[in-house]
Amino acid sequence: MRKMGLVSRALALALGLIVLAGCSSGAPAPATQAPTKPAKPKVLHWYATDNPTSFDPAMTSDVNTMEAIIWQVYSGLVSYDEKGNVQPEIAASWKVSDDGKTYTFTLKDGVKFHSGRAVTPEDFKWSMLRAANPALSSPVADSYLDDIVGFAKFFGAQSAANAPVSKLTASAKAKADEVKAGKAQQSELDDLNKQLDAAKKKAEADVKAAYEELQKNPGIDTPDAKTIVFHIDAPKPYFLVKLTYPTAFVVDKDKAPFDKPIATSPDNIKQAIGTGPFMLTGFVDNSSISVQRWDGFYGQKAKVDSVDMQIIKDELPNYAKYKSGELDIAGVPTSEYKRIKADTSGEGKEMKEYSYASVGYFAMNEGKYEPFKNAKVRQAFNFALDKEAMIDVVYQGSVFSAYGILPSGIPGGNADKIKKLSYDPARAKTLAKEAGYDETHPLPEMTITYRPGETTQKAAEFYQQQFQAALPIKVKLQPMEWGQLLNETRKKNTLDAFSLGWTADYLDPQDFLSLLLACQAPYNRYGYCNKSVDDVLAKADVAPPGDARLAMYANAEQMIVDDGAWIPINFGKRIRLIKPYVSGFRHNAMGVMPLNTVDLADH
Amino acid sequence: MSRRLLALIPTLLVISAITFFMGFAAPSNPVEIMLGEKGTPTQIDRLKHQYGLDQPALVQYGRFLWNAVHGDLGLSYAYPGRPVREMVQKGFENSVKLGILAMLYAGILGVLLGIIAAVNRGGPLDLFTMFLAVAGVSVPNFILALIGIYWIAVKWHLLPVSGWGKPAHYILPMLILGTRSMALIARITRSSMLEVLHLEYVRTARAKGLSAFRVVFKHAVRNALIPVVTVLGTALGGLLTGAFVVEIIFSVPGLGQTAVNAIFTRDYPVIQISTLLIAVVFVLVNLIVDLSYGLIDPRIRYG
Repeated sequence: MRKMGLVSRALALALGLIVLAGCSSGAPAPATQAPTKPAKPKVLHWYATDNPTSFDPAMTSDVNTMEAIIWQVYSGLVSYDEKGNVQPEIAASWKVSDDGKTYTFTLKDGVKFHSGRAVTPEDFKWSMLRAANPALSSPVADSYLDDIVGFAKFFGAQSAANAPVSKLTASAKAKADEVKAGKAQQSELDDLNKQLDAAKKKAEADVKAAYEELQKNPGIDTPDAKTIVFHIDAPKPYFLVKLTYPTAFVVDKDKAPFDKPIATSPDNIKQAIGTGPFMLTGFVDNSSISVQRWDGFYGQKAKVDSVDMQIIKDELPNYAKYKSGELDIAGVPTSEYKRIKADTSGEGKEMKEYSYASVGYFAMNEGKYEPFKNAKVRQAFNFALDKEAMIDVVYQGSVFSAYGILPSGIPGGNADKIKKLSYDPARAKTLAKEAGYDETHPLPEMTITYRPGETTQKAAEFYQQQFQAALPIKVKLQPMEWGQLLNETRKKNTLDAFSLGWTADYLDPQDFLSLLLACQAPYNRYGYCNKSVDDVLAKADVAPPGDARLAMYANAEQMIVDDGAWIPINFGKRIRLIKPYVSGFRHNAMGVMPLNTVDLADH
Repeated sequence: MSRRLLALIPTLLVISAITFFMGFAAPSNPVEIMLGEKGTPTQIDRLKHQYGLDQPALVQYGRFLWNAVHGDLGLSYAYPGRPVREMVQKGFENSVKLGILAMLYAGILGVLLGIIAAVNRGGPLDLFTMFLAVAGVSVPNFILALIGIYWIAVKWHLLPVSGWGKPAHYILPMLILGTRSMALIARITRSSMLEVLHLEYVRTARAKGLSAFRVVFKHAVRNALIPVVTVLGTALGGLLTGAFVVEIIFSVPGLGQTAVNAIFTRDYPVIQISTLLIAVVFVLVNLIVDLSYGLIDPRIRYG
């Protein structure tokens, strides 16, 4: 019938259109192209795993944004080499005073911004003052610049000024509830609100005054065109290492707004002027980022002409793009890891593994679950877990097992030498008995709270099965959305046990041990406290840099492990697939290093 | 009709209030999410204060409404400094482009398949097209997506795996996004056509000697289209406002990604504006569908 002919013709036309569209602008043709004379621009096809959060080094705290943009476009006084040691970057050299409180940096010659202007010590001072500007609301400035004397004072004043406002806000909220319940008068609430308004105005004025004070006396001197001096508040040896973090990078004061962050938007690309080997040239929200080689870079000029980064949030399409030839470097889905590793004559050859300075741990909250206050119970839980089996079954081998706190890549990291609490279910039972728990007096029911996900679900079930097998206990599982989970852990006394992780801000043991496991540590959300450990950490935090200091941290780490403070579970591994024609891709314990060393052979 | 458009305003107000206060009721806040595992209570308090998040809910909502009415949709919390309007606008444009393509694919192919099935009732073509329809409805779209990527992109190199910006990037997401609706439309068209094909006037037309083609396309289809338009209309709202899973897999920078990410990061202003936009789209689409009944069937007209 004629109708049928029309339909099948239409379908054929549609199919043809699909093929045409694909051929004209689809996947690259498979290999074997003879190189043509005028070299095609060398474009590295790479990826980001999420939308970047900012173009602004003063605002960035997530590794994805750092790897995709910040580390390519900007730089600072110092950086990490491939082994994780601090190396000169914009600074040619530095001296530390005898009392450890004054750092004098000499800048390299010929360091310029992408705009062509030469970098001066004033630019560094300006950039750091900008990072602390209350108008920017940087979430990281106070963590990284608070050692410099003026900044320490300012951040302290800022907290002091805001404290009464927070208190009054809470009181006003409580009062409002009381008024609704009829337990208080509206006039009391009005009074409180008046006080609150006054307090807010005062806080604003105080912070403004404190910031003006900071700008006058930042604790940073710029005696000449090549020298910058920092005065810090105590002889902290990790101050140098903290300068590798983007908050200490330099931005162009002629381009970056002083009182606004450089938000992600194609319009703001012209503000994102740094000193790095690449310039930011393109951005499509949730889709792609592109950077281009800058020939005025003070170090090794990039070997490729540009880098094109697709934003690919799911690991399977990422891998698919590698297979189709659209990506030169890709990640490896957890479910594919074992298969690819075993494929030693094929893709297995293209897979590379790198240590990453992160640790995943199982937290036993003394603030909620009483038995955890007893070290023997915590040790028992440690012995009850077959970590090697867990890494194999749950993580498919895509992470390293952890028995200590410090991943390798942290100087003084003891991952190999630490005395382990290895799997020993018999010992677990004995320890529990010594603490007073056995079949007749079992441990109270415990709930493990974890973030939903394929791997985290398997991990939670693994814990449940192992603990119930080795110990007299019933374990319940409670998945909880990430934001809510974070919220609950911060309350410190609502969850029995939970899984968390920690990624290094800088490669120094202080970043792990003192920030997570000291009694009053800001991130100690499980109530662990050992005075002897605290004493060692306090001494090590201000000891002069060197082996003696690292030995103190190693000592503290062993005490913490013996104490069973956590169950350390895994150290980070970054796994990449790299096409054979790609060379010079570097990785250190903090992540991907700037891509100026990457080259692409003809392919 | 203007009455219906005016009714949009209280609808939007109610939706915005519900969304806002629900967002408030959800635990955590943008600052905590931004800081992640890091973030001391002091830092959180300070940032909350700077973003105005420590104000009572009513005050924040009032501030939001006041600004919105004056055209200021505010700044994002999760992407400091980014205007909400910019974030939502681009995402919406991309979702609309993809949605319209998906709708065209679903509508045209769905109707064609339905007609083929109805005209060949009981025959092999009928069975085959209905098998496609059932598969299209039952197979989850992410599975379809991965199958499509594996064969079409990776094995046969016909199209790129994912991305956005070139015509080739539209095809796979369009197919995956539209297949469910296409399948539904095929089934509905088939049953609707079957009803119509048995009516007296169709038999009369055939008896008069008109070709099968003219009978089906000129006389029968129009009357069969009303249920189809209903299905299209219901699906269209969803297609235009983004499908999160498809967007993630194919890296399509659409409204689905923007809206869902805003929820995970508690980016209240973006959640608000996205939700309101989606509501407006659904109301307008319903209005258009209602009006189109009048076009298809002159017996249905609105005063």
